Amino acid sequence: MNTSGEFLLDTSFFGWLYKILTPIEWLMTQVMNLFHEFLKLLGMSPVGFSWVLSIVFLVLVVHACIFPLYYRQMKSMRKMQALQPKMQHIQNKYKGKTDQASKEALSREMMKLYQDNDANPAGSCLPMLVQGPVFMCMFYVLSAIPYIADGKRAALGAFDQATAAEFSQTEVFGVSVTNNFTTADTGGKIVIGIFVALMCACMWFMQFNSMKRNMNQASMVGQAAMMQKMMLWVFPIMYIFSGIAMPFAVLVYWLTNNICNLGRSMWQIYNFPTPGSPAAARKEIRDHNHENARRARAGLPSLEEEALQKAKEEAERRETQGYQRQQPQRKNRKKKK
Amino acid sequence: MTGKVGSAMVRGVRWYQRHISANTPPCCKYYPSCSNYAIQAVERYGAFRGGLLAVLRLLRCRPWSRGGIDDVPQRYSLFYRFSWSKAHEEPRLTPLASDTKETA
Repeated sequence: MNTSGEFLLDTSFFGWLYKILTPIEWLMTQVMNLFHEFLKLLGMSPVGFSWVLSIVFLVLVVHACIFPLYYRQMKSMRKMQALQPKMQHIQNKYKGKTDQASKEALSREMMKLYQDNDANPAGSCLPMLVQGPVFMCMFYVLSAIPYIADGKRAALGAFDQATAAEFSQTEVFGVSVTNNFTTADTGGKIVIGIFVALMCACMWFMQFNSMKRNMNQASMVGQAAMMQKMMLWVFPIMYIFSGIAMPFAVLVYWLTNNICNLGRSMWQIYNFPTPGSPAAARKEIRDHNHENARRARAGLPSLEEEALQKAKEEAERRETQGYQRQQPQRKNRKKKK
Repeated sequence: MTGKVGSAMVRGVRWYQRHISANTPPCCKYYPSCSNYAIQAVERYGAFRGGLLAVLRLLRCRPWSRGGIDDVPQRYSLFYRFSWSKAHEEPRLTPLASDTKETA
């Protein structure tokens, strides 16, 4: 166990930050403890897998809480895309005008458009801001537990010294949850290595997937594309270094978190792809097939049949009436005498 | 109209606009933005009453609010957003002449 020094996260600026976030930390410990009690009720041993499952459960709960915010954001983005022609219309109206009054009128008209359509580009600020502290708290709680067990830090929420000690004794796959890569034995090193590798793989695949599927391929040239490809490798490699320093409990949290993120990103690419990307093209085909299936069930002609029908009617009309288009006429028009 | 405290507040907000806000991408669901709203409110109604309006405006900037055009009311009321309020104004598409003079 690597608890020789004082708890570093409690010092300096971060200590102050984590002090402010205490209510969230308290809530998290309670969630973990509650789930642990539940697992004990099911007959699992209090030391062992039950604690690891509690960590997983905590991550899932946090993701479930954040998901609605994400969903709203996705829907808002979709609305914005639908508004694009109207926005361009307004922008064209004020094209080339640089005076103060026109600029202000432009912003006002844009705002009015957003308001009337219940879409807002800035609506998405907050979920991003909320997310950071929440994940920081989770990290903090998991790192603090060994220190609580040692009596070096005061109790935090549901984790008094006894519970924390119970947590610290947990051993899964032959690794203690408080061990990190440097302090674990050979078997433990292998297990931790596998976890870090899985973490990196998740992260890499998430980025790769969104780059390949969810980006406009025409825009993927030159400097920007190079940067994207660099990023693809930079984050996983950073993970290797930080993964080695972190205790196993944090790694469990991290891997679960990455799997959740991957799932969410795949869901997003499937349902809300960026327009112009390969994923969007696939979605179009899929939607087309769905519509045809719906029509087949309802006994209606499919989209292709309908188009063919229309073309035939048009051709027939041309046969009988010639190519001259008939001018539309008012129905109640006075007859010529 | 603005006293010492009011002008200090306006200077503070201007400092924020120049040094902090200018470095971040525009991200506001209201027009005018909260900082411009605060300046207008303080200049029109003084440090305390205008400041109160500005604080309420900040509290309005959160998810589940619709955003849009939200001007400082011509007539002071904390409830001007409600349609039953006498100070309620329909959103204006063109700025008032008095507003543009201040910002120019």
